[in-house]
Amino acid sequence: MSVGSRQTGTVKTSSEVSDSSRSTHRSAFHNWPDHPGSASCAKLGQGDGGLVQRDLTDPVPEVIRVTFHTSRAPLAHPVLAVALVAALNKHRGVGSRDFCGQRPTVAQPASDRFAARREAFFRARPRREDRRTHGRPRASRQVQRSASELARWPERHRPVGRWLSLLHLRRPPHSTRTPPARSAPQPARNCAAKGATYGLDPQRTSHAHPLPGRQPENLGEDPLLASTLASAESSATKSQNVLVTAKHYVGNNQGYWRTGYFTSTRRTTAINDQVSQRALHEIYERPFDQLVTSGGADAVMCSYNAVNGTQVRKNKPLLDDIKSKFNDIVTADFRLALRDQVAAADAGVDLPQYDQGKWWSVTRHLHVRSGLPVCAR
Amino acid sequence: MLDEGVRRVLFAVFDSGLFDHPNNLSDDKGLVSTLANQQLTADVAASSMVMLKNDSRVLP
Repeated sequence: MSVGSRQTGTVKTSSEVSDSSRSTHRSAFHNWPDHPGSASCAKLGQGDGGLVQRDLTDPVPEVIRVTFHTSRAPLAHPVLAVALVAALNKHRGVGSRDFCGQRPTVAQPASDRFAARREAFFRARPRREDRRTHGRPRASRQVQRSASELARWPERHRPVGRWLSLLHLRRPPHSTRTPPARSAPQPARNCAAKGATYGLDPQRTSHAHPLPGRQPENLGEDPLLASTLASAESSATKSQNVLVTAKHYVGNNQGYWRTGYFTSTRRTTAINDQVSQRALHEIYERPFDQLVTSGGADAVMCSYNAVNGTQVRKNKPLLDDIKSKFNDIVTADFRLALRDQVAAADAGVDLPQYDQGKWWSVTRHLHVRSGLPVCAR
Repeated sequence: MLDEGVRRVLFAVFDSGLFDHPNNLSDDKGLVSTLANQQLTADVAASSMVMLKNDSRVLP
């Protein structure tokens, strides 16, 4: 069957085609043993008495070949269709290369309404991971994890895999551990690095109970040791121009009933500490005295609890004790510590926290980083 | 009372050097939890632990 012969859409099996064209035309596949145009396959149809028979060895059925040659609509031709779409796109000013994310290469007429929109669409956008990390190459989680792991463990005791390191509970041996390095005061650098102006670092609460959640933040029960340590920390932090707060003044010795509990209608008052005056002065107030005098603390934060029946933020004798020793701020603890602002101001609290007061009050809306000591971070 | 509060607040701001050296503009959080700091913290914690052995039943 030659290419130029125009056949109608009837289905012709290979045996018929080979029978009819055998005498006049020799197929190009004449020497192929399995092809319907070959001489061996032409012999197959001879003994069938003219029965319609398909050659199952033909990889391309005759139907498709016939349809391909006899179709009259030019749009059905794939090459013509692609050429037509390309021509239309070129007419609209969109080249086919633009679908690869490149800019249009065809010059735009000045009156194109969609120039800006098309420009924005085809503008080179960063890949997804670049968008997440703001352009930096993204380190995988395994790399980040192994970086800290590898630094902690010496070479010959290094955990092997990612999940094995979770099971690796042995401590690094003493002989290979690096000695602790002397460095600049880190709490102060933390504050400075975070942009905080109001550091709450020296927690000088003498906890007498091991269970409170914030107990490890404190420096122990011994007043002398704790005040010495806290003073060093305070002066170091202050060297970085950070406003240092000593807290929690005073008698915040346990976490139980620390801020009171919610009943169905109201929040109960916090726990009441019954402390003798001598213990109060010699044990509980002692670190705060040293902090505001020699430690250079700039603020003292009141605690939630009550001392001898009065809440610390309303306890004028207690606040007068500490305010007579320095010239700086006495502030309240957060949220529920300040329930009666007038009483607290009368007792001598100079500054509420940023989350206290009515919603229209100034301190609630001064930003944390405004530079004013309205908040602690 | 208000004057007293304002005086104390301003004194604290001037005394801490916050007014002369406003450091609230630096936002370099990469300095905070560095590897050396974590290592130092772990070492301090490990070397400050004391283990007691209750030989003669002194401890409760």
